[in-house]
Amino acid sequence: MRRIFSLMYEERMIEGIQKAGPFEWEIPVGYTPGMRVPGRFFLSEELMPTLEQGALQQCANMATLPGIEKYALAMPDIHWGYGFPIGGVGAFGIEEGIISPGGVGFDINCGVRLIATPLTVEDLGRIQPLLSHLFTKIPTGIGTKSPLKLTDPDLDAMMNEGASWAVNQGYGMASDIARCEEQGSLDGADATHVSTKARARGRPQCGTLGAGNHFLEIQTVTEIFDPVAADAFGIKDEQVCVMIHCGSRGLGHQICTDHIESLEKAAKKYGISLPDPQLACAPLTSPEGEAYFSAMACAANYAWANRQMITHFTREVLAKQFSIDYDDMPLIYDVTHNVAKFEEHMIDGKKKKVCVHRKGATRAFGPGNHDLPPGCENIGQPVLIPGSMGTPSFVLKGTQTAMEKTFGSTCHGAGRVLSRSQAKKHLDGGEIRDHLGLQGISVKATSNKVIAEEAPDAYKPSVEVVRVVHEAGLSLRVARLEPKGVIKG
Amino acid sequence: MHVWGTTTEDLFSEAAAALFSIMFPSCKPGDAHQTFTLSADSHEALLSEFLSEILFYAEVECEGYTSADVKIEGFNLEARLSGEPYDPARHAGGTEVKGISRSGMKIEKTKRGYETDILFDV
Repeated sequence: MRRIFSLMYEERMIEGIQKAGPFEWEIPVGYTPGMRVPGRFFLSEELMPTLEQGALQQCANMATLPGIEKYALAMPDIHWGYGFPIGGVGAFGIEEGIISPGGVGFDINCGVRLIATPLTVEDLGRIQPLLSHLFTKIPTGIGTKSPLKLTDPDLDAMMNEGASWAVNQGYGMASDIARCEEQGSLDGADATHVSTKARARGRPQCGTLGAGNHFLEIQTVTEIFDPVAADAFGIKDEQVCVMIHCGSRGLGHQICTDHIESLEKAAKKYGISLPDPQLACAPLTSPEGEAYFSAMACAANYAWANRQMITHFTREVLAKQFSIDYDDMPLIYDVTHNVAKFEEHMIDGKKKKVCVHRKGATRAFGPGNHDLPPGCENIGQPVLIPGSMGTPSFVLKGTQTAMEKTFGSTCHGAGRVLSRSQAKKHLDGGEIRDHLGLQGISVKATSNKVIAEEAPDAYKPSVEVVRVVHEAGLSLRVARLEPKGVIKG
Repeated sequence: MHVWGTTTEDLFSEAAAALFSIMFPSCKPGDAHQTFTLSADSHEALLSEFLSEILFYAEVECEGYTSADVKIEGFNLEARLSGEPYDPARHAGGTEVKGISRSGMKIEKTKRGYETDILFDV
């Protein structure tokens, strides 16, 4: 497995890039024709060999889009993606800027949440029975459907209200809402821009985990770096937590598919020159751009409601298995890492409203900002960074540096070094399951192929990615969590 | 994924077979069928809409397909998908495809007939 990683080292390609700081690199204007601003990405020397030429080019391509402010940015989990690189962040002015599905991705509002429990690792005992109960309760993998029958008005409400809809239906606690980015709901959702097909895919999938890189993981807190922030977030040493990673399922995929077609036509109609057709886009103020935003917001809200429902199922399983109170499992936080949304940022000394695209990147608002959960006003926003299967996850806090350098953004995970097909070809899922077992980590997955696709060696080391954002000041380490058991589609 | 066929209809069937090999490697021919028609303004748009339509039917009908018969006249397509009901217990191991990248797809006439590269977002 290590052999494949060393092959990646030989593919290094960093010509034309300038160092701009200890962990900061600049792609100068002119790297690719039509760049309006420079590109900036954050990476350590250690991670530099994982940088793909294609991802670098995608960062430069972002910089050619109309209305882009300051820099086309990429976080240290930068990886070749669709349109923007994964790890890409771009902010666009409202009047002159664009919105692009290539800056959001097919899995709209793919995101992560972390739930606290009153349990410690000793309370867990043998983890397999717990994983089996969770696997039974939470539909997981391709072809699994929700036990719930959503009506069209239910789906409308879910897409309009997001996490609040789920809580009002009995899936969770009122206090969960303040612990979600944007209170678990984007303004501006308009279901008239969601197709019949997207609805047909969305109705049977509410409350399902999905497949691919989505997972539910039982973790324990093994290190507290910042006791004050950990206390404010509700995290204690040796505590068992549950991390949920999933998105808007087929509804989001279909909305992306439906709107790409109209945005391709719109780019031509408005005379936007694109270096890569995957950057199909429309002006934010155009009917096509507004329609995409409204539909994307529906998918984002669906995803928040989806994670909220899975949270409820998880609490029910844990409450029953360990005889603990449902209310003793508060939500620590919920972040989205595939979204475009309107935020205010200081640009050249002036506050300006922009549409921030985060494509595999996490919001990391610093202290004193609006939209921080109760008790975190002077700390900064909780930032959740999942590891790959078998590697640690981290909780960090947002910073003022992120506000100044990255429109309040940081990394979203470890970032791939092998594609899913490469991982399947070169890695053995059964072997990995055994190896993880020796480390005390149990995996319940629909197949060994899924394990190979998401194996730790298919990703950059999460510890190093998090070190870069910490050292660069984009977010600061609060706690480290180690995996104990995972369920995957 | 690089796909080719002697005719555009072959090319479309092969493209569908490529998608099936990713999503449904263990599905067998069976009695699940779906028929649909599509129109577009180019063969490239028709191909990406065709593959997106397969993703749609696979998900809402919960079926795993193994073959696609395609008839094309101009930019109009009629397709019949065949496979079996998707059973998560028996058919796990495929990769979920989130979308088809329609951008940049170009169908070229070559010695082998028609060829194109297709990007599946997984």
